[in-house]
This record gives sequence, structure tokens and C-alpha cells, in this order.
Amino acid sequence: MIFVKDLHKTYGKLEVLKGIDTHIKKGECVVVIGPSGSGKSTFLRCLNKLEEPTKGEIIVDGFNVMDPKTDINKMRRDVGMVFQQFNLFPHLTILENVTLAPIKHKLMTKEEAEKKAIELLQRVGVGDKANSYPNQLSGGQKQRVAIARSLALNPNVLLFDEPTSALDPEMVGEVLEVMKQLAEEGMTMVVVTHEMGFAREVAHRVIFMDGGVIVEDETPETIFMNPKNERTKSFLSKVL
Amino acid sequence: MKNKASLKIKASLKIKASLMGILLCVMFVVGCGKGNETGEKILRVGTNAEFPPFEYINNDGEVDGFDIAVMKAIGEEMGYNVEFQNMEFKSLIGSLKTGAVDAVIAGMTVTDERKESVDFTNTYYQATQHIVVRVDSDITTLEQLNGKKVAVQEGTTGDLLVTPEEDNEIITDSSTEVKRFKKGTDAIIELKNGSVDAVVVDANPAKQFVSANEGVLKSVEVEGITEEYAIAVSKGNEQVLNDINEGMQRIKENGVFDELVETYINGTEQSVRKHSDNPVMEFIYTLEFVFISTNGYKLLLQGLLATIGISLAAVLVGVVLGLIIALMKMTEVQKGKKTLFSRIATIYIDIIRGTPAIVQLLIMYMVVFQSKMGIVAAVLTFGINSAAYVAEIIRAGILAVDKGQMEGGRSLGFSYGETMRYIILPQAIKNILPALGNEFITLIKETAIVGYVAIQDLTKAADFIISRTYETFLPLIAIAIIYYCLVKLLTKGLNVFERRLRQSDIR
Repeated sequence: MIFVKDLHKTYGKLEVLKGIDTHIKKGECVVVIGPSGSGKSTFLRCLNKLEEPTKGEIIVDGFNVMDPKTDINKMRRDVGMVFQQFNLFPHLTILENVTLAPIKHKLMTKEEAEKKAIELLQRVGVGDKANSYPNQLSGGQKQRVAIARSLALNPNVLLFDEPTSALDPEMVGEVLEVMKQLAEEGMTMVVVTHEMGFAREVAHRVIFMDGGVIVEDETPETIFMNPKNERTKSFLSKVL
Repeated sequence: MKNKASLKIKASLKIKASLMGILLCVMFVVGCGKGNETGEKILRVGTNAEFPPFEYINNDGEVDGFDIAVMKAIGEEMGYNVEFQNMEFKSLIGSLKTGAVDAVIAGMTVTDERKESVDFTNTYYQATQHIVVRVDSDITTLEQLNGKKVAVQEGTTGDLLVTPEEDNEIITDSSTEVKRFKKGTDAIIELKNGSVDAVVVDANPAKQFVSANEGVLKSVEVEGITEEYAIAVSKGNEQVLNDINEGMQRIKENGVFDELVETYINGTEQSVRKHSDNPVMEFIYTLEFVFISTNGYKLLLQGLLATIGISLAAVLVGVVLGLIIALMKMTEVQKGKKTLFSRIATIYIDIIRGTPAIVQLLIMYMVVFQSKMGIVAAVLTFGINSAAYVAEIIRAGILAVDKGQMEGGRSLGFSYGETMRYIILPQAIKNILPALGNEFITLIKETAIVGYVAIQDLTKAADFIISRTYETFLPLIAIAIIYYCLVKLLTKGLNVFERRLRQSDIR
């Protein structure tokens, strides 16, 4: 599903990614952890080309990301993304936020899109907010709407960029719960997060990044119980 | 290193130069495309309606006067549909040369200098020059003007007579100060205010000025200087020259010409102005005279409409053009480096903001439109001018939208343009609209210069009233109040609108 080989990314003289190689299978939920500045967000954003990779090879859902001929906009319909700051559209209602893309991409009629949007909103527990505006929602509700918005395009992959980092602590659980459900339903997910509980409980694999490289790529059990690398150990000892 | 830098500068200069070229070409093509059409026999006649009784604006705001009536009579005789174009006296000959008008009748004296640029018909009037002075003055000859302050209408015979130059036998004192005005009436007002000692002007307007200012001004004839007025046509235009000469012959033969002389020149115009010793009544009479009995209010109303109309149309042009320029400049943000489009936009904004609006207006009107279609030229000029400012307003409005919105849109598979349209611009509008309102308010005040291209806006209306009533205070205060109220009203409306926008934000 996702295939990354020798991925590099530099900003001017600063090399943020120094050669990433990994392979993520369909239906896998992979959690990426690591100290800030380790390049984990950059790695995630390279996958749907929100950041332009400097060099390397990326294949996502059959799209060759590095090929200039690839229709990136088409690829992004299949690869949803959830942001730390939600990035909901404040001038649109919740319902319009969710239906905008399917309608404008002509994937559904307005009626179909709205029907599906209501289903999705109910599924993430904000069905009653369809006609509200984003600013009237709590952070947790906003993030769940953002997830519903991504799902409206029937993506094959979902990328999560620190989805709970901007939330008040009491709202983190409701968002993680939705993500857990998705993982259990077999959605292919790549999640950059600091929520170690989620990593331990839900992830099939945990990738520990530091200094622009993958330091360890193991099952949660191995990473948390028996990390091989010293850097992993020291990082985990600080966050757990 | 040094070389590289200078090369860069050269390259950008080149781009600027070629861009200017393209702009000018486009403007030229636009200007030319709209010129001469119609198969009817139309005679476009230029005049300068500041020279009573030969030409002036009458109480209905139309061009009128002896010359105008003569020209109409000739047109009728010879089967021409005469259209008058009112412009500044010194632009008349230029307009003949560019073909903007076919003939000029403006109490124009035949001189050898002018004969080099235009052809004259047979003369139709002989005029003498007068010195207008305040009643207490003892000036009676041109020689006495040596070393004094003299006001004249720019480019007229009076101007030539009093300008100290080597070949001027009368005025030799280089300390003689000559103040040149676009209008004879302005020169007279200067005299009334005591800022000059005399005004040298043609006999008939002098008579009118004195009768309109009885007890304040008097005039004396300058001996030995007689001038002949004729109609000017462009050099070599035999057809029009012969037609006018023949028409003139006919109206002289059938008595129409003499009738017009009686009506316009010998007839005494009765003053509609009442006077009173009571200062309050005098003020009321002055008000009535300035705004009612000489139809000043009509002029102001028409002027107000013109001002609002031009400002509105210009702001529309400015918004459309400004959006395009802003988006061109925004390509820089999208690509992360300067693009051809962003460079063009930057140069556009640079040039427009770096030159005075009045200069842009004159270039547009005189060069591009060849002194035709003043309103279109004005709307385009102010539109183009405003676009530079609007572009910056729009760009700032767009940049003020959170960066995450673009990422949110792009991550849903929208292109840059689609994201702009569906997501960024609708939000940016809230930042943009109030600033655009301010731009409109600024524009209303800026359009006060359109009088330069013969459009009768609010400011020009006051100008007309002054030249007809010799009252300066009331008309100027009147338009100041009107502008102020207009701006105040719009600002108030804008504040309400802005508050509404913010409310919808809270919801």
C-alpha cells in the first residue's frame, strides 16, 4: 500500500530526513513516534506531497508520488489527512465541510453526499452538529468532524498528523476512540502521535524516528517491553 | 558579483520597459478602435466656454454664446450636425491636429504663429483689447503695466501683449509679473481680490466682466490693437474650410448673423441678482443668485451624479483588475519563488503607485484616447489606478487566511485554484470588503481632478458656478460640504456593514 525508499528532505542546508525506507501493508495501522524535530511529521507530509521530497521513491496506493506526471490531486482523494489544527473551513457548516469535496469532485450528487455525511457524522458522534459552524464546536468535536470529512472521499489510506496534540486532555479520548474503530475496521493508517497508550493498544507496528532516520520499526510489544536501541530506551523512559 | 547584480538590474529594467511598451500598445489599440464611425455629416467643433459672450455655459449647463450660435447657424445652412466639445483654450489647436475636432470656434484671433499650425476661415469679428482694473485705479495704457502685476487668460492675445519678451515693444520691464489663468473669470476674481493690478482681455468679455461687477471694476480700451476672429480648421482641410466660408457668407446675406450680433453682443444682459443693505437679506439674495436663479443647484446635482458614477464604475474596474493582479502576484506564494506573473504584477503596482493619478489621467485622455471619450478615459484611469491598491488589499486579505486552510483544501484533492475559489477567497472576502469600501471613499475624493479632461464632476461644477457668478466662497464651501457628507455617509454605512460581518463570525 505504501512503499518508501531512501526518502530525503532538506530545507536549505538543514537535512530533516536522511534516508527513510519502509513498507506499510494494506490494513496496517502504523504509529510513528519520536522526539520533536525527529522528522516524523515531515515524513508523513511527504507521503501526500504536502512537502516536496528532495529525493527518494514513494509509492502510495499505486500512485508514484515522485513522478511529476502523477496527478497529485487525484492521489490525495485516496489518501486522507487529519491535521493537528483540524483545518476545518470556518465559513462552511459542518455538513458543508464534509460534503464540499465529494460534491465538487463530482463523486456524488448533493443528496447522496449529504446522506453519506450525516451517516459519517453520526458515526463519529457529532450527528447533531450538522448545521453548526466549526467555531461552535469543541476541539474534540472539530477533530472528529475532520476525520468524517476525510472519510467522505472513501480514502484507502488515512494520515494523522498529531491529531490530539491541540486538544484539551479530556477530549483526547473521544478522538482516539474514533481512530481505534477505524483501525479495527481495517483502514490503512499512518499516525504521528505522542499518545503511547494508543500506540501500544491499537498499532500493528510502531516506528521510532530520531534525527531524520528510522531507529526502530517493531511491534508495539517489542518497542515498549524490549526496545533494542539505546535512543529508543531513553526516549520511552522520558515519555512513559 | 558586481557584474551579476548589474545584469540583474538591466534585465529587470528591460522587463519594465517592454511591459510599459505593451501597456501603451494595448491602450493605444483600445483608444483607436473607438474613433470615427458614422456616415452622417457631423461637424465636431472645439470651443472653450470661458469667454463670454462668445462662449460660455448657460444656466442649463450647456455651451452657449455668440460663436456657438454662429456655428449652429452655419451648420444648419450647410447641412452639418454640429457637436461641440468644450476644452481648455490651449488644447484647441492640438485637438485640431490630432483630428479630435474638425473645427475650432473660440473667439480665436488670427495670428501668424497659429497660421503655421492651422488654416483660418474668413474673419467674422473684429475685436479690441481692454484693460480691466479696479475702479480706483488710474491705469489707462499698456505702458503703465510695466512693473505691475497683471492677470491674463493663458494663451490669449492679452497674454502675448503683456508678457515681457525681447520682441515685445510695450512691456519691457522684466519685473512685470504675469499671472496666467486657464479662465478669464479666474483672472477677474484675482483682480477683485486685489492680488493683481489689471487684467488684459478682449473687449467683449471685458464689457461683461465689468457689467457683472458694477461699481467694482472698470475697463479701458487699448488703442491701436485690433484683432480679427476666425474659425480654425485643420491644415489642408479644404472641404470644411470652404463649407464654413460659404455658410458664413449665407448667414451674413440672410441677416441671421446680424441678429446674433444684436442678441449676444450688443444686447444688454439683465442681471438677475437682487441686492439689499441688510447683510442677512444680502446673504440670502447671494445664495439665491448662486444656487437657484443661475441654476447652480442643477450643476451641482449633475456634478454629484458624475462623481458618484465615475467612482462606482472605476471601483468595479479596479476590483476586477485588482483581483487579477493580486492572483498574479500570489503565484509567488504558490511556487515559493518569483514568477513571470508575479514580476509583471509587482511592476504594475510599482509604476501605478509611483506616478500621480493626474498624470495617468492626462496620458490616458490626451495620448491614448486622443482627447475623446473623457468619461471612459477617466473610468479606465481610476480603475487602473485603483487596481494597484485593490490588488494589495486583496493580497493582504488572502494572506491573512490561516495557512492550514490551504493545506486542508489541498489534502482533499482540490487544486490550488479550486482551494482558492471554494475555501480561501470566501474567507478572505471578510478581510477585503471593509478595506475596499475605504478605497471607494478615497476614490470619490480623488476623482475631483476629472475636470482636467472636461468632465463636469462636482468640483468642475463649482468651477462653472464661480465663472458665472464671480462668487467663490459659496460654491466651494458647497462642494466641500457635499464631499464631506458623501464620505461621512459611506463611512457610517461601511461601519454598520463591518459590524455585521463580524457578528456572523461569532454566530
